Amino acid sequence: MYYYIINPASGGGKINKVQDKLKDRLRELGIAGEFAKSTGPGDVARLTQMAIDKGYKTVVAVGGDGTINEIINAIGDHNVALGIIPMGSSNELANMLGITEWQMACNILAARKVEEVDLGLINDKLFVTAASIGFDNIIFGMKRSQRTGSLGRFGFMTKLYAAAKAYKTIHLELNFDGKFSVETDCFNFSLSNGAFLNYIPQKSKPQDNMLDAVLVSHLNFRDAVSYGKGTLDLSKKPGQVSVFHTKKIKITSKDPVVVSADGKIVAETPVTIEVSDRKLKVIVSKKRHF
Amino acid sequence: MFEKKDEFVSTGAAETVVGTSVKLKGTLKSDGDITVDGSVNGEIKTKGTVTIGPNANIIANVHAKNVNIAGTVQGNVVATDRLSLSESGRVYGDISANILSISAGALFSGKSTMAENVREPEIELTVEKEEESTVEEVPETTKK
Repeated sequence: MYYYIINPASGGGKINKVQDKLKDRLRELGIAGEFAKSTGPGDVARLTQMAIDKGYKTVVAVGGDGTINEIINAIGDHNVALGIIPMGSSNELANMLGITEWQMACNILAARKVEEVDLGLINDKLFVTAASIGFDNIIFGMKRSQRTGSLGRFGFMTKLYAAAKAYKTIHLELNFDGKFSVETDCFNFSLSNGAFLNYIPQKSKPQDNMLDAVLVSHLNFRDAVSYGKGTLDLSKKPGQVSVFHTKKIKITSKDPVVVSADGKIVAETPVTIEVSDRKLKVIVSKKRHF
Repeated sequence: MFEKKDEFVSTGAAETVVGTSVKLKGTLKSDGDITVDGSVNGEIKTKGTVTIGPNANIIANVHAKNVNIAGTVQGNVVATDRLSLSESGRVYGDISANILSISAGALFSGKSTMAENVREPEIELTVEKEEESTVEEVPETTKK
């Protein structure tokens, strides 16, 4: 049986519009299970623990990457699979798994094809999509404000222009697997567990036991705005982008800078990020991108 | 990046890329292709192709299947298959390759060794001396 954790805040309350239809469809497929609704920060983890205690072998995130992040950290070493009904404003993992909308997600859950994917580890926190330092984290903050309704489209663009104009690069020192080190000024640095971000090489797989590091050294104002809008093609910026592959990286900076994972701020530099020994069992589509 | 593109082995999308402003120290080892546009101090090793861009500054030994050099290398370069030194390329060190291509205008200071299966009489190296340079060998065409 499936345990569904609904995050009503995901995607600006997207779930509230389709909740009844969703439950009807799950009943039709015979996988209705038990539903629980989170009520605030930390509640998703508490509900996941409750599902594990009750003996559920599948926890389904009805939300986005942030909801999934809380669930995978609560699952830990338990033999529990993750299912996804994408309802977030960011659904990177669901997209990678070939799950693009809720109706399709219901059919995929019923078919229950399970794959194991890698997990990243920042200090003691797991993540499944990507970790970032730099401009990404400003954008994540603005998108959170958009979700809560405190920032409209016009406000987002105004803030983006201001952020792109004022942004100062960060000087980072990166040590890769203890084999080589890199020193550079950085506009943005990401570590991805697969081709989750549009600038991660498509060869990157969430089952290769590697993290793909993408370093954007410098962007001018115009490119920074395009980057923030998600329309910049970094493959057309040769020399400004570096790509490395690693199992473990130590990141240091002169002053502490925040590190996000799955779109949430989780740590500050200095920090070590690595591929975790733990794997995530996840229900996937036949049309997954790996 | 290179004047005579047809002389170079296509790299495709490099798996490892060192950007222009990046300074890397240590051993950069990969199974795939490596492109360097920044600085590397240490060693570069791959089973694939290493492409060294015109702005790159390498103080390292390079060992790869194919090596394309348009920047500066201070160190020994071993290409198990093909080594191409373009017009803007500079190598201060010994080179070894199965197939060697050096464009006019390139600077190479060191010893060159061809693979044993290449018969010596077929190699015709033309020596051109440039003003204020230490060019030792600058063949005009690719020889195998």
